[in-house]
Amino acid sequence: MSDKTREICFSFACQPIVDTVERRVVSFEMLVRGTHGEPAPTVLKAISENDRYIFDNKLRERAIEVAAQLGVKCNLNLNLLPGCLTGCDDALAATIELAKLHGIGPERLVIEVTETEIIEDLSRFSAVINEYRALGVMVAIDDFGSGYSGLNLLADFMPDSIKIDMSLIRDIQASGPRQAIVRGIVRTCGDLGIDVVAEGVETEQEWRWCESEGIQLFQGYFFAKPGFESLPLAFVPN
Amino acid sequence: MINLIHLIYISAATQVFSKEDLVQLLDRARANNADRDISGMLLFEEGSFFQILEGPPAEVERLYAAIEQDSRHSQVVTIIKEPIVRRAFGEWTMGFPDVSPSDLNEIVGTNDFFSGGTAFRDCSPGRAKKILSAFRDGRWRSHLDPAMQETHATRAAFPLNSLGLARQGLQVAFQPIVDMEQQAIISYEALLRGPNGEHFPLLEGDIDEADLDRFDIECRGLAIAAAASLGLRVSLNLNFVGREPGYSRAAIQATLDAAGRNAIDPMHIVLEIRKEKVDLRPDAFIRILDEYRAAGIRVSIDHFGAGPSSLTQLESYRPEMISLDEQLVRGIERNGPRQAIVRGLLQTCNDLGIDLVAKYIETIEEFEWLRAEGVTLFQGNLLSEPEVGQLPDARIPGNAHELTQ
Repeated sequence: MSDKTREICFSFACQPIVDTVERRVVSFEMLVRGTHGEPAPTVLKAISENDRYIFDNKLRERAIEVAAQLGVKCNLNLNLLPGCLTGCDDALAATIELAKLHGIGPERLVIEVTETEIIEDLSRFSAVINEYRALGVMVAIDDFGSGYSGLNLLADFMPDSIKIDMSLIRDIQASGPRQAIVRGIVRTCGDLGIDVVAEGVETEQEWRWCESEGIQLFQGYFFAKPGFESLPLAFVPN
Repeated sequence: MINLIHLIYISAATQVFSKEDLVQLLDRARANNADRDISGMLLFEEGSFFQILEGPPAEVERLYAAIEQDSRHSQVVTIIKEPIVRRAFGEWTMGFPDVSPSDLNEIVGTNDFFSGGTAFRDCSPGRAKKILSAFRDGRWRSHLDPAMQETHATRAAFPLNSLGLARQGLQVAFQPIVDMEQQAIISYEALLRGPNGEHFPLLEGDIDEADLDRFDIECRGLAIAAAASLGLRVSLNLNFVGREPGYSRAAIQATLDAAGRNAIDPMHIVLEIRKEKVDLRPDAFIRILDEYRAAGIRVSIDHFGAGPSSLTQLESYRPEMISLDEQLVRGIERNGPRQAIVRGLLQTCNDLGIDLVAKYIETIEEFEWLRAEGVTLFQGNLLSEPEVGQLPDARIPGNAHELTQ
């Protein structure tokens, strides 16, 4: 690892994913931040290309340490840098081992990947991810609906959950097209036993519309902002 | 019997020509020339147009008559009109880069047609080249008024000829899209075929990257002319690759122009947006599509569910139609995930008033599953294979009934 990369300091913020029907937090997504809470790009843009795989691993190690220190009892949603899962044979092996050391079993880990990442090399992706899934690790497709081929992908690779992109959620109570698109997604995922998470929910109206359509997992400022090195309480109205 | 003439003229621009104006002028010229078997070149230098037209006598004269009437230039002087044995510019585009708006940035003002590059050197020898040399040496320049002269510092040279697709033996096949509710053929998709019926992807590699834009425009012109000559009465689905705004506008305009020349109502034109490059600056592209929608054209997203198509496009493009990707329909009667995906999509499309075409249908089982789910529009070999040189009838699967347009 280059000195430049070694010097990058970072930590994590935690944002809850809530089940508003059962009224509980089901997972925390671990979001990378600077050591003073600076947004993710300030950390990520500093990484030199040669160090991506090593750094990617360091990111998840730290995410698990932060989560363990904070005493997370539910699941953990972890992200990978683009290309790292398929570019590196054992991208997740060290992460799983470390999580075990901290008492977090693989069945509590959710790996978030984007449509683009999967589609670039579907057979390689499937081969790699299925090894980890055999250990219990779950997979979520992030930003679903915004990228390429979201739909066809479900025929070839079935994730445990999808996170509907926030561009589809924004003001959905007032947008016919977004409503129609999300209804279709909910229907397809319902038929396939894929959990649906509405991401980036910012208003009560957005949440109420989605809940009335049968979505029960949510993430967004309306419930809780990411807490820097802390586990924020989630707010769920009655 | 005179088969071929060339006509060379010079004129003075009466208005300032921006890069965009030049591209548009050129695209129109090429679209027109595609149907007329005309080749040649257009040189624009400091406010003077110098143009060489080659082709069948009647076509050249008809075109020249129209050119003379164009108010964007004046002082039109015919330098020569005479029979020729062979074209000097027939293959000329091969040696000279095609002009797209981005290329033009480099060409205008910097390209020295005569001394730099190989363009002039590669012209076939003959009188056209000699007159071109005279122009190079300062003769034949139109007398511009001083005000115009100052605003015309640009210079650019363009190959004028079409790629001559029909001459190269390219053909168009048509495949019907059937509406099961109406029990009628509602449209034909135009599909390009090679001289021996080869499919488009096989041809793709044979075309210079630089010629692709023009190839694309001319293919649609060829398809429209072919459909019209076969007596098209329903809609025509044409493939369209969205690219940078300058190209997209010129290409759609060329399509409408071709429809106009062939007496096809713009309401009957459906542009099937193909997967490649569809997301290149989508906002600008969508704005252009919307302008032409006002003229009646409709938009379909092809290969939906695969490639760069995404659900959010249903909101951003507001297509009138989508067609399912082949992978989604293949063997759908026994594939749970595909069934779930298509059910969801069908619901979304119904809610939004988007027509969903089940394309690539090959088996009765695929057809019956989709029909039972409420799909009404079908296209595929089960109903009718694409046919070159005709607008084929369609078979209603599971029944002896045949549909004509």
